[in-house]
Amino acid sequence: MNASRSEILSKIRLSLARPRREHHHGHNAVTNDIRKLFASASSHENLVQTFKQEFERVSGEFHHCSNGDAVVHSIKDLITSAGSKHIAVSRHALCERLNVRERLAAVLPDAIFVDESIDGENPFERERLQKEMAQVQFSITGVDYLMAETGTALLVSGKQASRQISLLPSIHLFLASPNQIYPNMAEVFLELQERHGNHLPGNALTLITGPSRTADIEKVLIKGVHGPTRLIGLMVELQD
Amino acid sequence: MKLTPRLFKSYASRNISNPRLRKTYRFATHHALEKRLQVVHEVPEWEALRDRAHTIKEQTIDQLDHYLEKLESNVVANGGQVFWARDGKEACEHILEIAERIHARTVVKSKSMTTEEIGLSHVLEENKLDPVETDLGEYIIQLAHEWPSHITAPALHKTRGEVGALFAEKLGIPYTDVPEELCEVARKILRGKFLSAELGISGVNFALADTGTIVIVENEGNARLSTTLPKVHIAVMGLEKVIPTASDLPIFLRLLARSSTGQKQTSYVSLISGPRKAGELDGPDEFHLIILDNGRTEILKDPKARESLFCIRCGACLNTCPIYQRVGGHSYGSVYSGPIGAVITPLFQGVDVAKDLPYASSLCGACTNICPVKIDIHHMLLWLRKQVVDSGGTPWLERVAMKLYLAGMKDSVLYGFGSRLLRLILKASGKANASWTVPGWTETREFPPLAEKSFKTLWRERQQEEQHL
Repeated sequence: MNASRSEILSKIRLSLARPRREHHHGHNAVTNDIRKLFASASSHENLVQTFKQEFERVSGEFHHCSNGDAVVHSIKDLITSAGSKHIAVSRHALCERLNVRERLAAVLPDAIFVDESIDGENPFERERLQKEMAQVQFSITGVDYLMAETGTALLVSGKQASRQISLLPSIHLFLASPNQIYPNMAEVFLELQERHGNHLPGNALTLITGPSRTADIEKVLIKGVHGPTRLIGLMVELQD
Repeated sequence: MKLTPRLFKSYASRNISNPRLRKTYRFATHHALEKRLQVVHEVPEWEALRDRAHTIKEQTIDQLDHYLEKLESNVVANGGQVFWARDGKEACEHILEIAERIHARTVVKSKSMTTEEIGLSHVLEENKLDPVETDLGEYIIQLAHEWPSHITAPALHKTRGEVGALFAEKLGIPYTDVPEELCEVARKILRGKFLSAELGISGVNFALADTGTIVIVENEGNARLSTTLPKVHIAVMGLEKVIPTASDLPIFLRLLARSSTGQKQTSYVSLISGPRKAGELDGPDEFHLIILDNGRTEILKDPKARESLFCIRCGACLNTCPIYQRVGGHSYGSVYSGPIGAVITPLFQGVDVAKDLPYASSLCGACTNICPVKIDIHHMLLWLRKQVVDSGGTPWLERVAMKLYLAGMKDSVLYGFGSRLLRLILKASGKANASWTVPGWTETREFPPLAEKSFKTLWRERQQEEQHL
């Protein structure tokens, strides 16, 4: 800790014209209080429909599948029509459960797959993964939460998936299931707090709402600046 | 152009007489305001959200020491390192030390007003590093050697033709003014920088005390790349950016994008809790958080000025301000422009240096009405004008005139005497228009011709007429 620390803290106390004192619980936002502020976006009805509508409003491409075969078939078509050769699949639970990587490899014999199953503690493997990921055109991940009000997906990055897998490739597709949709962001954060307390999971959480975009030149909207140009959401509603 | 608020008047008058620039500003600000209106209308809780956000900021600032200490201990618990910087110099020196230790050469920066405030890029350049601004707007103004003209849209003043000419000159590409093509050029160049940079530097939109997390809000993905790929990530935050808990964040995020760009949510919001942890696949090996004072604890002293530290840098007050729309962002001579810039620049740099800025307002209150955290901006501008007057920042003629006016307003006999005397002088001068009386003031304003009779005379006559009826 550096010398300026105590100087700045004592200046703050001096400026607030009070000695150091115990923290008083001034605000401590009550759960119901926060919920009230999101009341107009709190309906649990038609969550899939609302999510789809908002997701498409921000240029997300929404697809719907009812079994594992349909998922693989849809992804294969998307990859083929985009002409992508380098593919990455994360180790999210839904990808693993549907065995997406192996089944895609079987139907796309020419594709090169980038594997995220590396030893995270090996710096050379991490470096190699980054180099390979920079070549990937099409990535497939799961998500952890979805928010209907804004069409937003939340991805926890860490052991299951890297941060770069949803960032470096020009097309990012995520698999999700309807029970991951919450009405709004406040509900998601209350849930996170409930599950993880004061320790957010992973070294980064990323909220993703549509593809990367800019309007820095004369307010002209351009999709795909530094991140993915296309964002695809595939809602998996398993019937079996 | 020199970055100083002392030149406000000359910059402003030059910009006002530039029709192309005025058109660019008018289009961009109106575009943003229209989009904002659509997404604000659909939130019936808007006013309650503003109140809540204001209260959270107020109560956090009231216990700032507590929350900063909490933030620090949680960042450290997450494996990050915290450095406290009294001023920009100390922050820049610390960043240079880190850069030297890791033998950094290319530094990718994501858009951050705080690093603009401390002039970080210049310091890095002077020390033989290659700092690259990676937000498209920031990249444009870095190539043009300018400072941001808007808090959230730094290259708002540039037309596509100007950007095209700039890219052709600096990057050696064939001229094009198609925004998509220009963007593609920047994407390619910057992607290479991201992949080779040793150090990434970002700002901080919010810092969550209870989880030790920093939050970065953006649309392009450059902040994600800057904070993910390089081995070391340094985040620089003004000490007012802390909020108590993660569950406060949705409240601010529901306000911020809507106020700023008229989006319901920006493309990306990153919540970063320290460096890569054991077994994780990527993320930097080192995470440093710099907590910057740079005059903020001084602002904290005055309960009236304190409110300016609530600002979440959305830029809505700039868009709605009739003065900003006309004089443009560069006139303010500060990286912070518009109404909030006119408040914090004098507070940061002193009212003597920035004495014209509190007057860059019609006091219409549009800024206060639009502010998502309900900062009473136009009353703060009025209060700052008083500081300018009290510190002797006004010309002697104005001071004498105001003293006489005050005496007259307090005494009806004196008032009557004064107004008769003035009328006599004006009439005796024989000019229909009295512009010559107050030369500075009437240069840009029409002085109304003298009425036949004074208000007092008219009033008296009217009362007499009524009595006769």
